[in-house]
Amino acid sequence: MEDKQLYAKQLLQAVGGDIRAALTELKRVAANTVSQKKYEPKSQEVVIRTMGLQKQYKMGKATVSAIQDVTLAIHKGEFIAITGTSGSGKSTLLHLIGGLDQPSAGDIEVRGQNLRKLSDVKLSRFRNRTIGFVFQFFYLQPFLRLQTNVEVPAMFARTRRDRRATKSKATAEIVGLSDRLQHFPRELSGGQMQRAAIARALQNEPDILLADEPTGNLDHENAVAIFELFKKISTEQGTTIVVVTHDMALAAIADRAVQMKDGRILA
Amino acid sequence: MMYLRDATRLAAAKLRVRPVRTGVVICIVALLFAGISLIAFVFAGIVQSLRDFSNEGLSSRYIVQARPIVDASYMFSNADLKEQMRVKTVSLVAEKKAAAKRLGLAYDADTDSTLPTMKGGPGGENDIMANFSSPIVQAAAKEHYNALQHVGYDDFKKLAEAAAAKNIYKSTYYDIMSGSMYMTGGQQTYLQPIKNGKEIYADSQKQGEMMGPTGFDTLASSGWSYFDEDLLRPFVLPGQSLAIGKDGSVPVIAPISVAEAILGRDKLPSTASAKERLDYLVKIRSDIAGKTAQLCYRNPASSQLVQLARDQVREMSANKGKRDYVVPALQYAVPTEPCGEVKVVKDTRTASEKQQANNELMFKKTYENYDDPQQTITDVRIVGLVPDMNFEYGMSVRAIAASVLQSSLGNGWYSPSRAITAESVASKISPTFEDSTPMGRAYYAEFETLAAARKFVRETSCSAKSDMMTEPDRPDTRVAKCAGQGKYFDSKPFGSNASAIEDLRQNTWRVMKYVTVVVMALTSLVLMGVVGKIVADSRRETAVFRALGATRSDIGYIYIIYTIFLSFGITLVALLLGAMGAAWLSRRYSEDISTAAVLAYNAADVHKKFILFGLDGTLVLGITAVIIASALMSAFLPLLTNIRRNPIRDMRDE
Repeated sequence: MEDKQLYAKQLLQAVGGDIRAALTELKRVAANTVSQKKYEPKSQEVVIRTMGLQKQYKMGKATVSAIQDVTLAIHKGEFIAITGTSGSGKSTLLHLIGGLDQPSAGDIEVRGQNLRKLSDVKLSRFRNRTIGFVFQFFYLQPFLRLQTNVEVPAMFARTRRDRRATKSKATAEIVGLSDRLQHFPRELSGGQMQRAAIARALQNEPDILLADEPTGNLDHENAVAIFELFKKISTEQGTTIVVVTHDMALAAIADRAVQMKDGRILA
Repeated sequence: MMYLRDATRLAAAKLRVRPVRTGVVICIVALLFAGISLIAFVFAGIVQSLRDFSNEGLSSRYIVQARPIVDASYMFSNADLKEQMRVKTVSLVAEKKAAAKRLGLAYDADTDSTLPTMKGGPGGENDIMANFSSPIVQAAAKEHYNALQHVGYDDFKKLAEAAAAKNIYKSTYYDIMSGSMYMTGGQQTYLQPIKNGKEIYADSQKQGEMMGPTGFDTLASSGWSYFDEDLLRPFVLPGQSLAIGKDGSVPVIAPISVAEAILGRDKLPSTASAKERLDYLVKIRSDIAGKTAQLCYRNPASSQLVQLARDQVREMSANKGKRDYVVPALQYAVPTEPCGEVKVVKDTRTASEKQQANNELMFKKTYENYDDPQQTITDVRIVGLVPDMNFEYGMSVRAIAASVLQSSLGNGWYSPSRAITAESVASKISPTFEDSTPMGRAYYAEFETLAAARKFVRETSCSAKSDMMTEPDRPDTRVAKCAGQGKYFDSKPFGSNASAIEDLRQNTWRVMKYVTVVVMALTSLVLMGVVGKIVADSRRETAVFRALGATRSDIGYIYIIYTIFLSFGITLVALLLGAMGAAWLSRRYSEDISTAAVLAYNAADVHKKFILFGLDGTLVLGITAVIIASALMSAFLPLLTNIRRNPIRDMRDE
């Protein structure tokens, strides 16, 4: 009951209190929910598989379970939204998938690789080549031009300058920032900065793009645009995209939405 | 690991984050190093200036002076000599007693100061010691010293030639005595200046200032040395020559105060400004060049007679009109002509008194080496100047500079060896010059390089200490110790500050090393705090980079370059502040020190500047390296902690 109230509240906030717009959105979500039920993966290949995943944190003397027995399979090219309230464990799950954190128990396999068995250097390489990260606060380097910002992952990959320049231009094209490459982040809007962050995440042509609350700092219009961009990337490039959001309406744009609560997957 | 250029790009971008804080950090840390930089710049300036001034005089040449090591205590502590002299004294006393009796003279051996021994040896009042003012003792000592092996000029020459010396010289030093107070017999010499046609006697001369002997008194205090012309030439004033003058004048390089005395100038007050000092020096130099002065040489008998005549005049004047005062029967007149003969003006002695006096004279001539009075004028021509001995003490910059900068020749009187002719005053001073003992000798070897000169000093100089001061009554064991080392000379650099400058440079480096370590430690602590804070503040950024695929090495790489950038900033500011400080010091004190240096070196170019600011590439590189090393050291721990952290924790904290 509480979840429903919260969802209604978020929905109203997202549409700026416009009841009609909220109803339209609800219909779309309902339609999607239906389609989700009928969802057929674009590929049978599972690129991310978690098995009995657990993550516990020590907080003082108490142990907090952020993730409990999460088993999940994500297919190649799938655009999946992980939803849930704050503290439900969605970001933790994303970080575990991205190799930024290690599970307390269970396994994560990404493209057949068990992340628990990778050394720090191999994990770094894995994050650099296989994963693209998008954050809520963009985390662009303020004193680097957009093109250089986009090229940062390629720098860690020791990609030659000419190749990475070509690639950064191409990714800027994808996210619609071709004309902004020589600008500094402070000269961009929030939406443009997040697009730039997406371009950066795509720079090394990763198989998987992980986005943690990518629209948390954007208005609804920009948020929808970012999700539409994810959809486009997933469709056109076959990139598997996992997005964490607490916005159910946006989650509806994804191919599939997985809801989490208290560290467990509900649906 | 990522490419250097990429790491550099990211590190440079990072520098632009929080520019105010970065600037403050750079300035604070730079202040610590600015002190070292200041010392380095000043030190480099001093070394460069010293080198510059070293081109004056002999300083650009690498000359080693060697003095033979002989046992100076021989004359008063050698038991054999003492015994030998005791025997001679016994026979001489017997002889003198017999002669005195024969000549009708009273003779008391206890008051005879010309005997080879005298009472009051180390064993007490009744003990005896050799009387080194006795010609017999001196002759015995001379025989002993001249028989010594390994200390002759030929011995030195062999050593110098083996060490590839390019020139070899020797000099002779004359210990000049002036005034009656020195009349103790032996070979002492008496030279008095003649001024305005009047002989200036020792006790009527203007006494040297409290700071030390000046003017003609320097002849007595610093002596008169005869050098090879080659060594004197750099000190000759423009237009002057070291040849004996057509008028027979002896060329002399003398202290500046002698020039002042000849020209009748008063010494500049100590409050005179640097400019006044320089102007004064320029004027003195031009005015004194080629000026002659007369010196009166009197042998001991002549000097004694002058003193007697003057005493008589004083005595008679003091007792004038007194009834009971009996005027001397034999009265002498103080010579009216300079260096004139002392003449008898009144002789009322009886025939027997005259006979008695003749007998005394015969007795003295026979037993006490008495020579008839002799006096002669010698002309000296000032052809060069050396600074006076530095008596300026204290903490003023000029005093310190003057005490550090020393003349490269010395502070006495100097003439070329060829001035020692049969007629010259030198031959009268020491008629036995060729046979003089090794004690008054000095030999010189000139080398091509400083290293060769230093090597020669190391190889020839004896390091054993003399125990004459601690065991004055025993023969000095140093000679034996040195002979054990196969070394027979005391060698030291001469006329050149090159060796001293090199030592100064090395010692300063040594001190600087310790100072640097302390400053490094302090700076590292400060930097550790600051860089630690910067690195800690960059945890989110590090986490993002890690998420984007940076390895720990990549992160370390970026921060190391960032720290190096920071270090360059610190270096730049430190060097700038140090340079500014050194430039200020140089501006503030350069004029005073330059004057002191010009005077101390008697530099030909009086406008030469002693600058306290110099650039030494090695020092600048050294400081840069130290700052970078300190910064890297200080960044190491925080960086290690940072890259070991779990990036997700920093993300979550954010």
